[in-house]
Amino acid sequence: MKGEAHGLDASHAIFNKPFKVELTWIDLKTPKHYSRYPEGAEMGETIKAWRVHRELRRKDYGLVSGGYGFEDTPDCEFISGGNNSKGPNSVALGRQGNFFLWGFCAPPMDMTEEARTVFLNTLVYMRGFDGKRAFARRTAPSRRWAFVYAGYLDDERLQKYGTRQFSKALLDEAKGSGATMKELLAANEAYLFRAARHVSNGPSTFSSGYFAVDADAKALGIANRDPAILERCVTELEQGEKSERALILLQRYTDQELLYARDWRVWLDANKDHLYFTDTGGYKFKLR
Amino acid sequence: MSHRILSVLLLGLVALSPAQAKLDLSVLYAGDPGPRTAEWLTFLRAHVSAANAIDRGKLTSATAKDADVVIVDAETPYKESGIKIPRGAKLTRDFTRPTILMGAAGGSTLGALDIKLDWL
Repeated sequence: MKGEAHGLDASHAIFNKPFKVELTWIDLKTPKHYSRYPEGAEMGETIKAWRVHRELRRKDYGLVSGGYGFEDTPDCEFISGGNNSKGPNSVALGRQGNFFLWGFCAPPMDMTEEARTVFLNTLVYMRGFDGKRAFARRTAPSRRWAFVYAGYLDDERLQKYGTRQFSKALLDEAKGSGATMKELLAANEAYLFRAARHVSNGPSTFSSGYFAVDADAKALGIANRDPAILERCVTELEQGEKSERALILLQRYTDQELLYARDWRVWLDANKDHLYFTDTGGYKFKLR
Repeated sequence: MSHRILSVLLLGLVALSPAQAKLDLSVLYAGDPGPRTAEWLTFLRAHVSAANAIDRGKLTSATAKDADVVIVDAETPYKESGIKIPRGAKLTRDFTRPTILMGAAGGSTLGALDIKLDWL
């Protein structure tokens, strides 16, 4: 990563407390490779950016973390992207639990004065996370990656890898076209999940899984990340309606292996106000 | 009452610039012995009440116990002989001190932590 931040949340505490920083904005030429990402295609020729450092005294580059789905767990916050070789949504400044990624590599003398002040604010901000933990792991790619992989289908060099990222049903319907695949994904985004390649209904995995449309969730008409799907499935179990599908969905999207309606009702009533859905945590509702 | 006093102090701080106000913070910089560490200590000591340095490999919950915030950093990996990625701090998810991970050393540290922050 180079020396410019973009896509930043200027209202965040690190830009405002205790020292208010008047950010100087520049127009940064949009990195060419950003266009391979869905968000990048809409960015235009330049993006609004904030300079963290200028030319370094010694050659160095910063680093970024994966941005898709980064904030789908409550221990994470995205603060800023940066001018990087990966993608426009990557995390240059972000926090998970007690860990803060300051992806820029410049030592203080190479930072702009504004960046030095933001760094001091970051020290103050982070003091508030003493004793917190980073608990979430990345066990599956966010569904946003599916749209990137769809573009691979039209790229001869990446086609083989891209093809491995989708279910046979999606590939058959797309007929090898990346554009058609993107349309299919957009139409079915609410029902996308990461299927495991080898274990039926098992936990999805980052490297060996593939994106599929959950026909069961789609038949219900409720997004797999909408908590309403849990209530509907428990109700169906209680009423003995389509209980096989209901049980499959409940077990697919939670970490529970309960079998009986009364047990699911007890679990859901006790936990429904504490649930969040995470793609990156394996396409599951988890307890905060 | 103490909350009001804190608010007044904070408002006072907002009105000041970093050059005028020293933050009441103890910072531990975990890096490599050398000029980069010296530069960081000079910067930090100008702006916070206490700043110390430690070899990155010696960073543990015990060695960081007096720090309000820890910084993990390293010299540039780009050497005349080629790229040499620095070893990260040997931290686990049980390390709960507030920690800022910078550049390649931060990235190397993330590899062992196995959390969502990663070196993409």
